[in-house]
Amino acid sequence: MAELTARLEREAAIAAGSASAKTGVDRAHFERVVCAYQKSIFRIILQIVRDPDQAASLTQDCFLRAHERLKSFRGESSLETWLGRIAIHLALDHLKSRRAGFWRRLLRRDSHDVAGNPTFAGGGMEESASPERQLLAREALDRVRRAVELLSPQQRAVFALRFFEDYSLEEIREAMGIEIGTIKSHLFRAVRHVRRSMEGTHGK
Amino acid sequence: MENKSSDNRPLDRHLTDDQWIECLLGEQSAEVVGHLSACPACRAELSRFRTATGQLARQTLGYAEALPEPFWQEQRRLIAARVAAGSARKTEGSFSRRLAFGLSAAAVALLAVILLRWSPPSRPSAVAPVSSADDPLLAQVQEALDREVPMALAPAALLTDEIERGIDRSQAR
Repeated sequence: MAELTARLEREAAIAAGSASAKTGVDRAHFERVVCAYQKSIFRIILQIVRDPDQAASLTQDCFLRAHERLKSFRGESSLETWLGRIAIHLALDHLKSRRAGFWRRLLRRDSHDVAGNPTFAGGGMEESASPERQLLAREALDRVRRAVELLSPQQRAVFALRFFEDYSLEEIREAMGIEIGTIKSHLFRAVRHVRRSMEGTHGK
Repeated sequence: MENKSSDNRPLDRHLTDDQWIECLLGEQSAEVVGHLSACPACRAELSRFRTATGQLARQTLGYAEALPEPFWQEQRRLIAARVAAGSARKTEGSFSRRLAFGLSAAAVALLAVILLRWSPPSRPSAVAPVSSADDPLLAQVQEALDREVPMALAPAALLTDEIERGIDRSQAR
C-alpha cells in the first residue's frame, strides 16, 4: 500500500514537473517534485559521497539546480533520470573538489551521528550469523568501505551506481554521460582495487 | 594442492580480474562458470565481495530510510528557502544588469558626443618635419657634389697642392 502511494506520488510529481517545465516554475508543483524524489536523490548522493551531511547539502543543491534548469527539461528522459544525472554530477564535482579532505571525513564518519538519527556506518550485518562469521564479515565490509573511499571520483561513482544502486551499464551511461567502454574501464580498476583490499579476509 | 574441475581440467589459476568483472556484470563465459563450480576459493571470494558490497548498499539504504520525517521536512524547507533566495537574487541581478547596461550606454553616448564636438588643433603636415629633417643632409650632399675634390681625397689633394707649389717656387728661383 505504501509502495503504491509512493508510486502515485511520483506519477503526480512527473506530471507536475512537466507542467512546471511548460508553464514556468510553480512553487507548489516544484514542492511535489522535491517531495517525491528527495529520498532517492539523497540516497544516490550518499552512496557516492558516503557522508550524510554532505549528501543532505548536495541534495539541496541538486533541487536548486533542477529548479534553475527546469525550463530546459524536455522530457526526453524521465524526471527521475534527469534529477539523478544532476545529483551524480554534483556528487562527482564534490568528490573532485574535496578529495584532499578525505581523511578528515573518514575519521569523522565512524563516530558520526545526526542528532536523533541512525548512525551511518552501522547496520547492514546479518544478525543470524555466528559471531566469528560476523567478525569476518565486518572486517571485509570495513576493507571494502575503505577501498571504495580511495577510488577516484569517477571510479567510485561507477562502482556505487553499479553495485550499490543496481544501475545497468546503460543506465550509468545515461546518468553520467560517458561511454560504456569507459564505464567498464572504471569498473575494472575499481573492482581490482576493492578485490585486492579484501585479500586476507577469508578467515581460514 | 592442485584443484581439479568437474571435467578434470586443472585449476591452478584462479579467476582473473577480467573474469571477475564478467561474473559481477553477469556476463561470465562457460569457462568461468565451470571454474566457479569447481573452485571453492573463487566462489568464496566472489561471495565475500557480493556480501560486503550488499552490506554497504543496505547500510546507506537503511540509513536513508531510517531518517525521521522532520529531517525530510527540514530538507524541503531549506530547498524552498534557497529557491526563493535564488529567485530574489535573480530578480535583483536582472535589475542590476539593466541599470549597469543603461549607465554604460549613457557613458558611451556622452563620449561619442564629446569626440564629435571636439576638434583637435591643426598640426603641421606629417611630411614637413621629415622634409626639414632631411634638409641639412641634402645640403651636405649638395656641398659634397659641388666640391672639386671628394672629401675622402682632400688630404691627398692638399699634399698635391703643396708639392705643386714647391715645384713652382723652385722654378721661379
